[in-house]
Amino acid sequence: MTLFEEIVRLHDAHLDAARPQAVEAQRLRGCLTARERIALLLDAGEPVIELAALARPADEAVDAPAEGVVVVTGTVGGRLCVVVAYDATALGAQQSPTSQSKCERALEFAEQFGAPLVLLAEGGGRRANNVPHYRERRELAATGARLAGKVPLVGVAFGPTYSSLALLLGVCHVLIATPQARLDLGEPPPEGDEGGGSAEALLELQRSGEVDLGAADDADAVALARRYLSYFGERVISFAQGDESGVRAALRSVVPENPRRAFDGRRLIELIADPGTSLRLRERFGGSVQTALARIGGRAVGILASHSMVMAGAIDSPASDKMARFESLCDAFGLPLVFLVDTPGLFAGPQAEATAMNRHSTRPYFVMSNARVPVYAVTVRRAYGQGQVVMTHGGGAKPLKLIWPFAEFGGMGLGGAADIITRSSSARRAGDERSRNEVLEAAQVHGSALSLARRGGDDLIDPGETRDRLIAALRQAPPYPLRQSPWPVDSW
Amino acid sequence: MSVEEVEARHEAVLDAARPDAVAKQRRRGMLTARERIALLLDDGETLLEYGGLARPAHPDLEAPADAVVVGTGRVHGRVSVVVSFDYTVLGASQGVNNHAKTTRAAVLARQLGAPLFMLTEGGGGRAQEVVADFFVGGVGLGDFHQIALLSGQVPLIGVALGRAFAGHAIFLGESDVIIATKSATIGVAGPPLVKASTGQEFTPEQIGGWEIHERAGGVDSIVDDDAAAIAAARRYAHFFVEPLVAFERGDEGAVREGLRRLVPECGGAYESRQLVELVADPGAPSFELRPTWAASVATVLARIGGRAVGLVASNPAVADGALDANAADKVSRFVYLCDAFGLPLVFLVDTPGFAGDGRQALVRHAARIPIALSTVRVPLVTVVVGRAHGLTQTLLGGGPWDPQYHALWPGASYRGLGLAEGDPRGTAFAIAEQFQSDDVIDPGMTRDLLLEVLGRAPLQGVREQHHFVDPW
Repeated sequence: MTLFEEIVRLHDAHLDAARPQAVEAQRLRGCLTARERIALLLDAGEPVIELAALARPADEAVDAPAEGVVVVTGTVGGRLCVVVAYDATALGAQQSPTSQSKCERALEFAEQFGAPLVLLAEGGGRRANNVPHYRERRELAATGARLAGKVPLVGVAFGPTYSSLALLLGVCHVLIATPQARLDLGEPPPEGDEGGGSAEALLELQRSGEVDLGAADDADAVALARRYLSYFGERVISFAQGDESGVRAALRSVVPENPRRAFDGRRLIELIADPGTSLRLRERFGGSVQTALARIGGRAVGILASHSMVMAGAIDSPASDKMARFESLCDAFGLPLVFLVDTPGLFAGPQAEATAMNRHSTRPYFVMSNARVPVYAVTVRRAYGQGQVVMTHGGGAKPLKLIWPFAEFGGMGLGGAADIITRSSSARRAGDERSRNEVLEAAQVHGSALSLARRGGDDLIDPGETRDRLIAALRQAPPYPLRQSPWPVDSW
Repeated sequence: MSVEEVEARHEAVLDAARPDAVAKQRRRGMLTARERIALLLDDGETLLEYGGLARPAHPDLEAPADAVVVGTGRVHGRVSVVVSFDYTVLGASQGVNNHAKTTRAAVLARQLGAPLFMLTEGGGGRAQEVVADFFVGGVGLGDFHQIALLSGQVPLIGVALGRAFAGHAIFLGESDVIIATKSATIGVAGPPLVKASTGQEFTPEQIGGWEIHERAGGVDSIVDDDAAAIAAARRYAHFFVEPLVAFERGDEGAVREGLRRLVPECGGAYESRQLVELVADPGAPSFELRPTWAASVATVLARIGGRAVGLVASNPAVADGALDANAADKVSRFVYLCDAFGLPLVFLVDTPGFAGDGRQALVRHAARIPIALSTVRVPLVTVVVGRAHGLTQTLLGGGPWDPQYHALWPGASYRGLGLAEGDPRGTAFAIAEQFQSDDVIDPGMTRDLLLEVLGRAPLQGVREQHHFVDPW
């Protein structure tokens, strides 16, 4: 064997073709191999560069191909991307100083080139009989956190993940998981893996807000990662508006005639977005507000929509946290924000206060006060109380305020306000002797869509025109730089 | 218009001219808005008042100063802005001018670089005046926004002294610290609004009594009455107003002995409070934030050698010192707070690691700690007094953060992440021999070490490129 043949042999030994048992093991679990996941993620036919393929552990007796982690650079949607794929078939992808170096190298590379980082995770924990973790004086999550303000971080969990690797997933901006996924900050059990999760456990992870996107299987998870990245690549893609008469009609009829009936905020997002472009994040957590990445007129945006089918659209602590995080994500990467507002206000009462509502509800407010992306607020129906403030507050970037004809504004629900005003001692003191109905009518006139359009809203619009208005406004929006703030996107 | 009228107009809004209002507060065991200010300001300091003659925008309503006293005065010698709501008129409801006054207060705080004290008591928006106009941003309605912009630039001190609902509760939520009396009730919606939106009738206490907020982590410090709350606000502010005070060391033999005995005497399960008291300046005030919430870790403002510092101390007496999702949030918020105002962070570590699972979204919450620490510019000092197990080896002030000093007590142990139980590489001396810690110290010398290290760290002020103090 010549020297050159030896080089080829050394490289080929890492590939799936040379490791039929590993491939078979993944097949049995219904999973893809680390390299198959990479191949699915990256653009087909484009060059791929693998880094440190020949890295070996200090202990020659240990056989972990690629040291349990494959690091490559390639393109996703034509844009440079760094991929770190842990290979659980290689000694459980347990971490050694060498594999940690590989991962850190990938993170540095992503930072240097401003490239998104995709973490395809499975396994982890510290490899036994290695130099202990503390000796490294470094921590993947710490390096990742420093990156969290600079490049998009995408985490995908394909199976049980442990320790630093699980924590690094937590640092990522988006967490995608398959039913096999599990997140554990402890070490893998010495007697071997406890096995993966389940479809039910995945739902639980989504409800708790831990996971943004649940995937059916490995291929689905990789497709979601590609999809997510698409909003952080080309800011504007060409978009030709076709015949939208169907959308216009649907927008006009999305709000039920009965003002007390709930409607689906997710459907409203789909109607406002270019067809087929919206991707909902954390749908099952804080569900009274739905958040989605989408395109409008080809421009990548973030949409937040009240969803009255959950808690009548009232904003509770989870919804507040969800909004704050989504807003900082969009602000960090220059995605304009569109609010579709139909909220009765903040979640009220003892149950709400038991979740420190007073503190959580100010989080989206704080983020938006410092936000610099353009903001568009469409008041679809109810805009009451502090809910109105939280949903239509553009902060630094004053929002464009569009109002649908069904909109109603008030310091609180108008019926309640009328009750309070009629009963209040200050009203009596002020000599206000109007009946409840008279007070209510006055509030309805004062807080009507037309009245607000005349008093400072930007326009009262036909709901059917909403897309056209937003497309026009977004075309005029300045091309924001990728990075708006020097701060990392918080993980909660 | 005579000079007499100027005088008369001003006197009319003072307590002396309003015996009924004073009596009302007395009956409830509370102080008036102006008495609270007098207690808050330094002795002999007078308030420079803004808008004392303001009245409600609604022509048919009457309220001296539109139910809120706003002004500037010195607290610990530092010019501060004070907003003190007057519950005796119109329930201190927030009308147009009332909001305009708090907006003005926030703007003044920015111009003066002054701490902002919000002494809240009131029921939120005034139904007769503020109906729909937040949407269009009427005159002066920008107070929530202006205060949000101040976060991380000047200390925001929120005090709840009675009913604090709706807008008042939001002001508190925006503050760096929330101090509440046991007669305070805090809620984003008060009883009438809760009834209007849910049909259920609750008392203010049922909605947001202090016990509810203590369990929720919604309030940092709970005290008995108005005077204690004002005193607590002054005590808290002192750490931010005077980052360094004169300090003279006495004989600290007892402290050294106490530190040496701490772990052996309780078999490890000491209370963080005991350790904090021993390392902090003897007799100097300290301020613990949310002491009973997520109590497996304590976050305490204290002084070491006269220098204001933030201590993050494991509390093995609760849940063995394990960090859950709430504890991670508590630590990350404290890190933002201390970093914003230049307070060095001292970690006192003795924890078995993280505990919890996906139902609490533990990983996302735990990730807040490295994210918060990745932004820090203040010095960190770490002393591992007991266990640093699992990821806490590195996360709690470990190597990746380049602490200004890292020390171990002789009984310290590292475990997990490559170290099995009993692995000799996880003992204090082995770690020091590998130079993964700067020293192993006599526990009795912990305070001496902190004095030395902090004495070498340059003073830092408010962070120029500021990050808001995360409300959660």
